[in-house]
Amino acid sequence: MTMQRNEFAATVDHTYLKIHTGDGEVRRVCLEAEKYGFASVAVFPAAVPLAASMLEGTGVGVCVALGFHLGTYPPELKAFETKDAIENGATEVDLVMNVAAAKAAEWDLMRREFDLFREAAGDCVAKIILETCLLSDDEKRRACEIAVEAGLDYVKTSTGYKKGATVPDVKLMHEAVAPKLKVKASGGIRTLDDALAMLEAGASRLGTSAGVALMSAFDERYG
Amino acid sequence: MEKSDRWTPERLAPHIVSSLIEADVTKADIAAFVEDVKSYRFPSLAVDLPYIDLLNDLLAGTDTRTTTVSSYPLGGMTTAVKVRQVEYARDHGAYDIDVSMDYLAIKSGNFAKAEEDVRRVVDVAGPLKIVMIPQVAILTNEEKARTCEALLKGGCTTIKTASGFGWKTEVEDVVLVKRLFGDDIEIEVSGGVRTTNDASAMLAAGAVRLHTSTPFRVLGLDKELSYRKKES
Repeated sequence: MTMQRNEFAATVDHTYLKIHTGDGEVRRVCLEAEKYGFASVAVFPAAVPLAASMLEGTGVGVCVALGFHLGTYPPELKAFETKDAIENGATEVDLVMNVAAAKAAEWDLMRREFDLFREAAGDCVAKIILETCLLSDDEKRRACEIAVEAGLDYVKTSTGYKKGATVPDVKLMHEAVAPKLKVKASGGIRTLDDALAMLEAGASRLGTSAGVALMSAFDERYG
Repeated sequence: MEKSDRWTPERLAPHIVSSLIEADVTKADIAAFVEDVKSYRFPSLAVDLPYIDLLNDLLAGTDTRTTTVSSYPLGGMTTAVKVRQVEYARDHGAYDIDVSMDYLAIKSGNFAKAEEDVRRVVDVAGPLKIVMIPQVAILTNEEKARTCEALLKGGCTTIKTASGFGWKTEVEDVVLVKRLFGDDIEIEVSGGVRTTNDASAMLAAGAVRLHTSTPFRVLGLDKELSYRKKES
């Protein structure tokens, strides 16, 4: 892997999806993201206004976790949630797809959800979360195809609340969507080796709460 | 045991809200769920927003009501989104809705913001009963008290202690809310009600309803929901 430090940092969505702490922790992750040059901070919708005000002018994106973490409600409500987050300052929107639609082979419902999501996301980076651990390989491929048709920007593996990203899933998704869409690997990425394996498998972005530790490990190995 | 003798399945069932809320639950799963539980005459079944209509149809002619959820189970959604979800539940005829509170505001000590969040949800509820979730496991005792004050001031009088999904409720939590607020707050418990003994302790402490995704185990019966069998 021949990757510069800043290039590696720019793959990280510095993720903070905890509910049991207040504004102080949101401020901390924003400061860390700016310091290391991460792609974005990823937070819950309620924390977006604060993150957006902290990160204005820094070049760090404000990524928001939508539909978390079950992704079950109707497309119109998800589109509303997307617009609401963007009005509050989100620049990247990560939405959990309707997994039940895949399980019931309701592909038209999935298509409508992805189309409405694209429309609501406008120019923001739109990532759809498959929650791969609940899907068969066929269902993963179908969801990827529909994401390509809808013109989304990324397919993303996992919410992080269930089993996370695997190398075979990232490969499968990369093959299904490249070069039109990119892949975000998320969930369970704790070590530098995890991170590099995901990038090697075709991920362009990593969702992880271990960003600071990953940077230390990167410096130790390559610095 | 005297307690388990007292809480026979027939006596316990009127206190149980049986829930089936997971990412991969399909219409077929909901239909099987209703078949599984309908003979127990639970007061309410809890499903996610898209299944309100289906559940209302399946429960037509029974006394069992439809419960749904908003900003669930993690919280973290904005007030605007919760308002929209509550309007959706109201328009589709749910009986009540369990709504996560603004935990970021609460953990930042901004109880005025948490109260306003409750008020805006209550304002659009119409006939839909609003049940707020304080998520007691993440709160100090002082925060529990101030959170309950905030929801009362916001116009809500029923809580579901936790969302489940790993956040537990202790009997002490129920005792605390009961001691501070008496009958002003109706207490539903979720998170950590797994056995008949758990259920008995929560009810003795003052809870009126208990939410569970494994109702048969709570009733002390050797049965499982069809959805859970599929899982294992």
